[in-house]
Amino acid sequence: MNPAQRDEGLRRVSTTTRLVAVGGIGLAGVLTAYVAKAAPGRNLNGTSVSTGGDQATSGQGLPDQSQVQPGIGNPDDGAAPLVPADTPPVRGRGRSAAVSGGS
Amino acid sequence: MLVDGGDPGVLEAARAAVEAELAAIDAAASRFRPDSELAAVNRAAGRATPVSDLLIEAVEVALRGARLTDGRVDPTIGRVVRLLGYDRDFASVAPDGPPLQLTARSVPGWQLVQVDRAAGTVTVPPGVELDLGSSAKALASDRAARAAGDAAAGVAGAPIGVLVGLGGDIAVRGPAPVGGWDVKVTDNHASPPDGPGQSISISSGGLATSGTTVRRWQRGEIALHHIVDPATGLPADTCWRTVSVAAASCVDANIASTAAIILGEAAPAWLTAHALPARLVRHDGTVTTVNGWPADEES
Repeated sequence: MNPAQRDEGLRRVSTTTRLVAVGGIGLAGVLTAYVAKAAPGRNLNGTSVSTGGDQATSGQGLPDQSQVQPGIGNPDDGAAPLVPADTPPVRGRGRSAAVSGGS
Repeated sequence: MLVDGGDPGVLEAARAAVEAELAAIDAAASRFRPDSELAAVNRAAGRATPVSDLLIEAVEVALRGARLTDGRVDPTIGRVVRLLGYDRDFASVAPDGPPLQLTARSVPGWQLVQVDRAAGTVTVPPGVELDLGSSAKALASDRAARAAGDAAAGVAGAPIGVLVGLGGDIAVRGPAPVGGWDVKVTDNHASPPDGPGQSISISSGGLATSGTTVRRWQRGEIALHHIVDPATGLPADTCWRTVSVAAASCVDANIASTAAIILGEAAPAWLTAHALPARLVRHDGTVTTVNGWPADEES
């Protein structure tokens, strides 16, 4: 094998390696997306969570949202939609026996 | 609880059914009871915690609300709410206290909650605390109305209409009275039925009102309330003081009314897109209604 043939062989191996690596990453991405969509709300990432102290400010000690795997499919995926009542409310007769108010 | 017709035996059966449901949901989902199943989940520091079917249902209801609102209603606000000072039954929360240093930061996110229905477990990561608050109360209303209706019908031998109201969250079951159930919609659920507000009538489903004027407390110079915006981890800075929504269930009404508070100016369009009748009240008292909610008489 002359040097030119050797160099050509090495280039082919390098190209093949890159293609396999890119393909692997792409496949991992596809599988990740599939799993995320198949099991929304149940995925955990490997984020380390600081429990923090209770003297912390309101947001401190919480897992960093940026580390949480975002966008697990459409938020509506897998959830039954909100359903209106059979009949909308109508004006009352002013003889209310129950109260709906803030609590 | 209101029962339309029936004798004292019917009323007693319905009352017992409601009390049983409330005791069960309190034991499962109370954030303030150290012996509740939810408290065990929050203490478990990432371990899967065996829980009852009822708590599984309550967590799934909360997660559904989070999905449907794109996270604007999120059960992982528990730790934030506790650090804001709402760490016990509200009647025991000090109305005033020393200043808090508040930092805007999103809550962990509902996606971190794991529910394994087959194994009967719930898991949250260390540092994450669930607050099922409003969604569990709405679920309790739906379940209690169903249980009361079934119990009443069992005694009466015929369908009986019932209305259950828990802290402003109302669910009705069975045949409604002629003209429907008359309900006063107002800022504070503790207001008397003949107090200020709008009188409406519903015949089915549920009705929920969320507001920022009742559960409020002060830390330093800052006034706080219990509806936390998951995007900031702080009490929602909203243009609405009260939002009432009618839906096919109290849970759906509650999800929408809570989300509407957090959505602010975008709420009417969001409610319209979901075809949910609603009444939204601004801080100055201006009322907006959508999707066929009747206009206030005085407007």
